[in-house]
Formats: sequence, C-alpha cells, structure tokens
Amino acid sequence: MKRLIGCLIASSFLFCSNSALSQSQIDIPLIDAPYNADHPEQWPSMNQSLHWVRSTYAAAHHGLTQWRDEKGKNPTMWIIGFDFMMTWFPLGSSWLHEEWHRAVMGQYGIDSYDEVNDIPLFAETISVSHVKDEDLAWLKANHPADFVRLSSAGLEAQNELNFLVEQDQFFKDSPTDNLFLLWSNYINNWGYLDACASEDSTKITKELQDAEGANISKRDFTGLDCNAWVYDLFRPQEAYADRGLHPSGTGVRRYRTFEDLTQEEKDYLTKQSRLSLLNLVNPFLINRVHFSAQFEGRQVLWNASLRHHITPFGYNLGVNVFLRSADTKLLCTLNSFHNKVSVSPGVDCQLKDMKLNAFTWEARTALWAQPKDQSFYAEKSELGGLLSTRIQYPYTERLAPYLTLEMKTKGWVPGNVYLDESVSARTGLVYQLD
Amino acid sequence: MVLLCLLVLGKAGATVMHGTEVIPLKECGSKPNCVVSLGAGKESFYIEPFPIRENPQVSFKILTSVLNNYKRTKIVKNSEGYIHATCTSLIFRFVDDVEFYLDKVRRKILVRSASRVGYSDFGVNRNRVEELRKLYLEAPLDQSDQ
Repeated sequence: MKRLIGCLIASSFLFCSNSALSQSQIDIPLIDAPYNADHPEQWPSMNQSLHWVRSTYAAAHHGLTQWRDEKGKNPTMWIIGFDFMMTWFPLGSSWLHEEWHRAVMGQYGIDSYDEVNDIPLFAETISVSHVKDEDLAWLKANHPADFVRLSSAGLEAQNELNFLVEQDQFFKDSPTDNLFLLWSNYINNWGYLDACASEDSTKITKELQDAEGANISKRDFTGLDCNAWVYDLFRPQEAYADRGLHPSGTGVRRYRTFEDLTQEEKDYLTKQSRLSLLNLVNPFLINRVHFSAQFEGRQVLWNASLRHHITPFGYNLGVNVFLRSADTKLLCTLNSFHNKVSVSPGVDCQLKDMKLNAFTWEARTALWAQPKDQSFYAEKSELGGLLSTRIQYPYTERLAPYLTLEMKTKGWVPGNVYLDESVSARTGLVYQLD
Repeated sequence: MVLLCLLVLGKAGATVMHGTEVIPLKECGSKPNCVVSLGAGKESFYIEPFPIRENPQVSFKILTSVLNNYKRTKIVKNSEGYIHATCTSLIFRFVDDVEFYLDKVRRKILVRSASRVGYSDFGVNRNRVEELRKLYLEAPLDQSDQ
C-alpha cells in the first residue's frame, strides 16, 4: 500500500495535465422527482448528490489551476491536498458515500443525519446517525432487498463518482487532474471490503460500540457497511431484532462483526474484496483517457475498463466500453449479475451529446435479466429495462438548462434509488467554466 | 458508515499476556506490514528476537545508541526494558513503529516493527529489523558507554 500511495502521488505529478483543449463544466441538478416531491426533507437524491459532488471537485480543480497558472506554478499538489481534505467536508466523496446510504432510507421517509456535515476532521470512521431501530426493523421486514442495498449504497456511490469522472474526461474533454480522486475511491472501496473480511472489523466495531454507549441517536445505522451487507444478504428473512441487544443494554446491536459471520459469509466477503480489485483494471488510473483506432477510414477514440459492484442480490461485474468518433459518442456496459445460484446478463448503452438543432440530446437504453425480487437465493431471473432521455438547451454561451426523463422496470441500476419500477424527471443547469 | 481505510488499516493487534506478565508488544494484525517476535501469530509475521549482549542493561544501551544513529529514526520512549522508536520513510514520510522489549523469562529482546498505514510493506519492516540486528550485534561493547 505504501508503494501504491507513492505511485499515486508520483503519477499525479507525471500525468496531471490540463491541456488548452480541456473543458470544465459543472452540472447542478435542481429538482429530482418523485424523490424530492415525495419526501422533500430527505434531499438530496442520489443523482443530486452525485452531480453536486462531481461539480464541487471540477470547480475547485478549475479554480486552483487558474490560480496556480497565474503564478506560473504547478497546481497538482494543491489539487491533491484539496481532494484529500474534502474527505471530511460536505460535498466530498465521504459525504456522497453517506448521502447514498441516506437516500435508500429517504425514499421511504426514514430520517437520518450525515455526520460529514459536522466536518469531523481526520476522523477514521464517519456515521449516518439519528436513525431509529424501529425504522431499520420496518425496512428489513418490508423491503429486504432495499435493506441489503442500504449497506452497499456507499461503495456504489464512490464507484459511480469515479465512473462519472471517467465519462467527463472521455466525452467532454474535462481536465485529467482527478488521479488522486479516482485512486482513493477505488482503493478505499477495496480496503473497506478487505477490512470487513478480517478480524480488524471486530476490533473497530467493538471500539465504536464502546464509544457510543447507550445513546441510540449517536449510533451509525449499520456499523461497517460490508459486514452488515453480507450478513443481511445471506439472511433476508431474519428479523432485525434477532441481532440481539446492544452491549449497553439499550436498543438493538446493529453492528455486525467478523465474528458474527458464518464461514460461508466470510468467504463470500473475501471473494468480493478480491473482485473489487478488478476496478483497478482501468486505463483512466494511469491517465490513458483515449486510445485511437481506424475504423472504415475514420478515426475512432476508445477506452475500456472493468467494474465491480456489490449489490442487493450479490454482485455485478461489467465491462465499460467508451467510443467516440467525429459525430458519435457511445458508452456501453456489458454486465453480468451474480447471486448465490445464478448468473444473468445485461447491457446498458448511452448515446451522448447528440445535436438536434440548438439542443443537445442524450439517450440511454438498458436491458437486463436480474435475480427475481433482487434475491440472493432466487434461481429465476426477471427481465427488465431502462429508457432515459435528456435534452439540454444552450440558454447562454455558458449556461444550459436541461430536462431528463427516465423510466425503468424492477431491477437494480447503479445510481437509481428505486429497486421497483419508477418514472423520474430531473431538471438542472449546466454551467461551462472555461 | 465511511471507513477511511488509509487511516485505519494496520492498526489492529492485541496486547499479549505472557504468564502473568503483560508484554507491551502487540501481535501483528492480518496485514503483511508487520513483524514481531511473538509466537502466537502467523509464521509469516514472526521474526527472531535479539540476543542479550553481556547483560540487559548493556544490551539496551547498545540498542539506544544504534537507534540514535539509525537513519530517520527517533526514540519516543525509553524506559527500563522497553524502547519505542519511530522510523520515517525518505520521500513520503510514512511512519513505522519499532519496539523492543526485554523478555526477562527467555532472556531475549523481543522486537516488533509495524507500519501505521497501508496494506503491504513489501518487506520493509523485516529488512529494517535485520539491519538493526546486524548493527546491534556488530557494535562494540564499549558503545554502550556513548
């Protein structure tokens, strides 16, 4: 790990470059319905927090680069320093991680509090607190798949933030100054799974339980995410109260330790830790944004990366393929969805930045077979799909409002909080910084 | 919950009881970034203790002298039969903890060297302890007077 961090910082020096052609933009989603309409107090939605965080990093990198350029200095160390410190600030990657946990509860109106809002500088663990035991018991009893997703959503968020950065770099020529962010998210997700799959998790969990005592509102909703994820994945029918009594004698013992897991569960967690390393098979991590090829006499830019997510039913492996020619921008992900007993396929394709008169237009289609009812034990799959379109109007040279409409059937889609069928409408503003 | 792994990993390890004596050295955790002269852990973490030279007092004086002269090393605690030092890497300033403890029963000096952060140390801790052992064994006995 030491060498890895060294390589990360060194590679940032070597490759961090903002060419004169690079463009920075920020995307601020304003309304996300029905999420904001059903439970306005539970804002932000997954989509809102994802784009706000992405925009924060983009705007800050842009500002730091301009400031250092004026002084004729390299901005790299400032950008790395900013990205590191944002770990403990709202609109940073940890905040995003927690907001996605909150969104899973928020869709049902369950209250919670993201402690990153308190700016817990240099804390090693940060909680989503102020969640009631009875709300968690209700969620597990009535929506067991959402309850599993509740624990996996944080890692999903960090992977999706990276995926969005990679898309911006490939399709929008945004600056390639995100190496620290990309590496830290992927490495942290692997390290988290690895820590859960070891005795370390028991030690960390016991320290947390001792520190919080009998104060229920101070407790995190789940403890270490991936211990809870694998526990509830394997035991969807177990009542929440069966976790036992908290050592203080007050409330449910929410946190699962390594000791609470069966050998099969421990092995499954270890397997996920290893599979998460596939996220490092990714040329963006060495700042290879484009590869070039000739196709029927035309130049085509391409890239490809692997991805791994833990999910409500098990896990997802995928291959992202980025393609770009003079007039077409295409992103496709080939997926496999794995539960305990079956593997099923999926494909997700997006056409980006198509021109339609003055408008910019995007379209997305996904088809999948996923385990029935998102169950870890389901032998049968359910077919499903997603259709989405986005239209953007250049109101001024820099400012462009947009509208996205999206509908999906039952199924897990990264970044979409609804596991059931849903229809969503989103509006927001894109602002060009350069 | 967010677990900030770069800060947390490598901090595991339990204090060891030896008979009724509490040995202040901890077993290594599960990460390959630690070595220790305690037998209860995995073999891959084990490293031979240092022998006593002449007597424990002289041995600890030599160790103190060796550590004081060792690159980027600072002794943070030096009490009777126990030394805790930190070693800082050259470029990225990673800090490792090195501890020595006099095992009066076995008449050996137990050693532990562990990284504070990260997963693998790629053998840095083991190589450092072996280098310190060599310096300790080769130091003249009169160095203990320095």
